[in-house]
Amino acid sequence: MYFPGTTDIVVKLLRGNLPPDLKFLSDILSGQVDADRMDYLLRDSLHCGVEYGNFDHSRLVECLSICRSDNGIELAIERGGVHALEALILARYYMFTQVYGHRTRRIYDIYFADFMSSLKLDFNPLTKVLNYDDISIMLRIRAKARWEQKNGILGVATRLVERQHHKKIYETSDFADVRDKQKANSLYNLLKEKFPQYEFIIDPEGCGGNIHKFYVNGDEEEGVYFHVIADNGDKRLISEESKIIGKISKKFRAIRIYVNQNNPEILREIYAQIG
Amino acid sequence: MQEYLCGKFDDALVTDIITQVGQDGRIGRTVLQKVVYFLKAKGVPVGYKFDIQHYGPYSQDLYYRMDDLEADEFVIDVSGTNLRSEYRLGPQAYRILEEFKDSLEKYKTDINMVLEMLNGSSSEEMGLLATLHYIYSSHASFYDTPPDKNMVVETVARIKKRFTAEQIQQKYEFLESRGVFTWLEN
Repeated sequence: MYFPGTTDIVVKLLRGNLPPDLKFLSDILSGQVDADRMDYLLRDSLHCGVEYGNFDHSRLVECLSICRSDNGIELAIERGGVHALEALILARYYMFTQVYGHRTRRIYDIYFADFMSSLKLDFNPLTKVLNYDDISIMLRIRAKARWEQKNGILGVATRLVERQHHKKIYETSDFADVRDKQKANSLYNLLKEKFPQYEFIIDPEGCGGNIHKFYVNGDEEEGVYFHVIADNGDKRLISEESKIIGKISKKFRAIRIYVNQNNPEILREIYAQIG
Repeated sequence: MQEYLCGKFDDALVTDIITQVGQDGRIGRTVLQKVVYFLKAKGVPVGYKFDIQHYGPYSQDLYYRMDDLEADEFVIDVSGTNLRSEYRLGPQAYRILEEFKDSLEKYKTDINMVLEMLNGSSSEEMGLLATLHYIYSSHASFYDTPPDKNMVVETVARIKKRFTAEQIQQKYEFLESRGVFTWLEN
């Protein structure tokens, strides 16, 4: 359904900061169980050839409802859809840990970001981004790779084109905390000092994401009060109704260190330093 | 390629707030959330998105970012417990404050204005002020017209049950007198 002014309304919904009685609309567009999330998990799973992102989206959509709480009118779910919602959260968790945050995919993200910033493209105003597409950028990567190879440089363009990536030599768990982050930072500095002849890359920030933002009883942090509606109309928080959602980590974060070496002997030396 | 977790203006801003607020230079996570919320409303370019939660406008990304600031030693959590947080400046803070010195200087007036406006309020009162502003500004920006005062007070009374209608009304008038309802950048 389209009517004049639709775009303005959608923009306002996406910006957030909505009157409480319209909150359910932004929940559908950009929330814990939003349409985009349901779409891209399934789409990415299909195109990556993995099963991790699958869940029963038809059942989930069928069970979505709305309810009034102190905070306004919000998206909620009927009791019968709790397991489909759990599956969505698990799908998100698996896709983050095994696809979006995969060690090899991440290092190519770093190369790609590095290449893009080296182009120093002007995106002001933002509509200038439309001057570029996958093909034009790929052509630039190939051209730069040819230049690098002609000049005997193993740069990011060559790495992207020839699939020659740094090797992962250290990683934290999928749920790195402050201490893990500090340890990885110190290790990175130590390795750079001990082996100045090699290039180390730390990926401290990019490889992470929110699994969910639901409020869980007892947590210091606040969260979304997402309700499950029973047949008799009673409401309970999703984190109370579902032990899986109540217990799963809200955030995924892995920190990795890579090195530009594949030689087993050199790697042994580095591993010995890591301990 | 980035070696530190934190290196954005947002990170410098939070570190700068900690240098300026709180007893003994300490500040809790909740208070920090409300200060950053008002700074964003005032027009300081903060990247965090705030949703209305149980205690008022809240950004989960800002909440988690505090761990990164701590890992980089820009801040230290001195609470000694996992149940709440209390921050003071860390040994590396000078690094980011120096790097963003000019940008912070540019927004110094806004920062001082917000801190002065919140000065003397408890964290619960700050939650109430921020909720009032959120409800007011969300109506104003969605419907392109200022909302009715009674509607704002009634809506906030449903969210903030600990406060009486009189207390809420009083805080509404406080924000109005300070011109805070014209801060609509969120």
